[in-house]
Amino acid sequence: MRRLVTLVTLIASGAILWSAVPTVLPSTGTEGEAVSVESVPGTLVVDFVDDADVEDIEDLGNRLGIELHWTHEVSIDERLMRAEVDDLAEAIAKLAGHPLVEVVEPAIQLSALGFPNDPLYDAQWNMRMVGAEPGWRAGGGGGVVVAVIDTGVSEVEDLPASRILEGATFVPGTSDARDDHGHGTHVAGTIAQATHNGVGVTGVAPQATILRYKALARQGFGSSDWVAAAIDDAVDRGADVINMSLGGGHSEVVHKAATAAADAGVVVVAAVGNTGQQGVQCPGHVEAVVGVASVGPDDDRAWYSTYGNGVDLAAPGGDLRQDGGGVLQDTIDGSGGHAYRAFQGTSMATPHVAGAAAVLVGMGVDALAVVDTLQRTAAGHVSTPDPERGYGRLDLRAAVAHVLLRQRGLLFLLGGVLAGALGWTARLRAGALVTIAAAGALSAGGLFVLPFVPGLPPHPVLDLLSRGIVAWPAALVGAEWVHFPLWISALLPASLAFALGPSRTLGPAIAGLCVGWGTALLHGAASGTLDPWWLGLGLDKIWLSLNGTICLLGAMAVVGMQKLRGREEAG
Amino acid sequence: MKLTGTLRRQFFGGEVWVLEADGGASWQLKGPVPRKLEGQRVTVSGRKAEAGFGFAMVGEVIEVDGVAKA
Repeated sequence: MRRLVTLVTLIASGAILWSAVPTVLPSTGTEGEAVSVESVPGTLVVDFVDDADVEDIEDLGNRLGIELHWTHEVSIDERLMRAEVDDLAEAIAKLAGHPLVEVVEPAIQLSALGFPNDPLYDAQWNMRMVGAEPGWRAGGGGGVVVAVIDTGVSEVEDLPASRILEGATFVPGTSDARDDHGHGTHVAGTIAQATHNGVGVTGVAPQATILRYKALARQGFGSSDWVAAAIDDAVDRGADVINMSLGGGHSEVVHKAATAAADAGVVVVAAVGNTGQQGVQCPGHVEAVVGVASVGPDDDRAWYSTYGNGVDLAAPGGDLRQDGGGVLQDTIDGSGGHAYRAFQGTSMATPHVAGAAAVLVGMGVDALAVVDTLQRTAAGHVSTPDPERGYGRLDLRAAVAHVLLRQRGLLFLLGGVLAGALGWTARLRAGALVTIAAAGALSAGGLFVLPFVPGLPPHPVLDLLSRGIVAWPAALVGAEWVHFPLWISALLPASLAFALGPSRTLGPAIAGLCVGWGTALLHGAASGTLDPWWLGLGLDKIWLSLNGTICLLGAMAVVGMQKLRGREEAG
Repeated sequence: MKLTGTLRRQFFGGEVWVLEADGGASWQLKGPVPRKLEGQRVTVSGRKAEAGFGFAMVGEVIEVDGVAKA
């Protein structure tokens, strides 16, 4: 009876966890979170009175020998400035008490619990609108390659060269795919800008790698064959996602290349246009391409966003007619430096979707399911695409929750219930029963709710722990290694069962691991999410089913050993 | 070809010159445009660009030969 109560409690706990997860998802934003601070020597923040004359402020700086700069273009109205000074105490003493100065203090850098600590994140209403935070904790698109076909992409302060791969340039007179305009770098930043690094702004999939292409010249124009060639090359180089924040009249070569890319398992995303009128542009209108429309900060269709057939999703593209309504990113400034610039357009909306796709691909979702998930989980989802918003507005928070619950959460529950049932049938003692059930649940589905813990900074260990063990190679060595046949086999769990199964201390945990492993393999066979290398023609499912069954038999053997040991000890 | 409408300056990842043509269509102007005519009714002469792709996406593209006040 006691065992039954334990088991029922376990299953009920699993069910409660399952049903409770959506209700414990954190609200967006970082308001109210505790922050720890540290001084940044030499940097001063000065908040002048709001009606101070800009010339008076400049005169004051010149008189005191302090070179003042606007913190950001959106801070001009607030008269908020910063300065690098040699002696903080001296500079503060000079400014404090001046009638133009409201506040003067050393700049502080948010860290630890202040998440994310990118100082301009507050101006990124777009990241909060799409719910980027859980995606950062769910791997952030690690191991995923996103091709950006644009004016090129350049490394800037907040998008390091280590995140950029060289693709190709198709523009005569250029030797590589560096950006000479600023549009492409801005777009790439929305996808993969370094996040929680104490610098600038954030991106949707900060662990993704950008594969850069230059198919638009400095003046912003390109030819259809350049775009088509870039698509083909991106597929050949193994891109998982292609972002095209560009458009034009219908082109058969672009249509063909984009369709072929989607058929090859690449998520292809394109802008629908900025005409403010009906008639989605090419390649956004291609059926296999996710056409992205734009909303402003109010979540309404942006005034310029093109509408009609071919709009699949809406995402924040900004509206410069509203205060602070642009999409802010780091980009080149045209004179060898960089600047944080607010842009608007469906060009800006599109990379939000590409970044979201990268996050899901990094979580182990294939291209077709990525598109389906993004559409199904969109805010204001409709079953028939709306001409202005498609299936709805991108909601990455909901998409990540969907994947976590439907895949890892389901595995957690199945692994826990199967392992618990095995332990209960074998009449294991309460402690061992809890151990086997917990090991079964965790090894199958991992601590899948971790990405939704508020304020938790993203970390590779966090990503690892949120996955079932079978999915660990994706976080450690690359997504493709999850499908290595010897990994998705009974080899490791059976070896552990053979070596450690008789142990009274470790035996129940090993039995749970075997159940969890077997559950993951059988689920992979049934759902098609596991695809062992070299095995086709149905052999893949046979391999997974056979090995999954061996895992479960191994667990039964371990439990049998535990019973025998128990009897021996009792006798 | 010649088109008449209102000349607008817009920003989509950079400055873009747009002709809001009589009849409702928008055209992107490629080539030199006199800034002083912004907001005014103008006649644009030029030719339609072939299979032009771009990031502005405000409409079909005209290679501008000249812009004159209408």
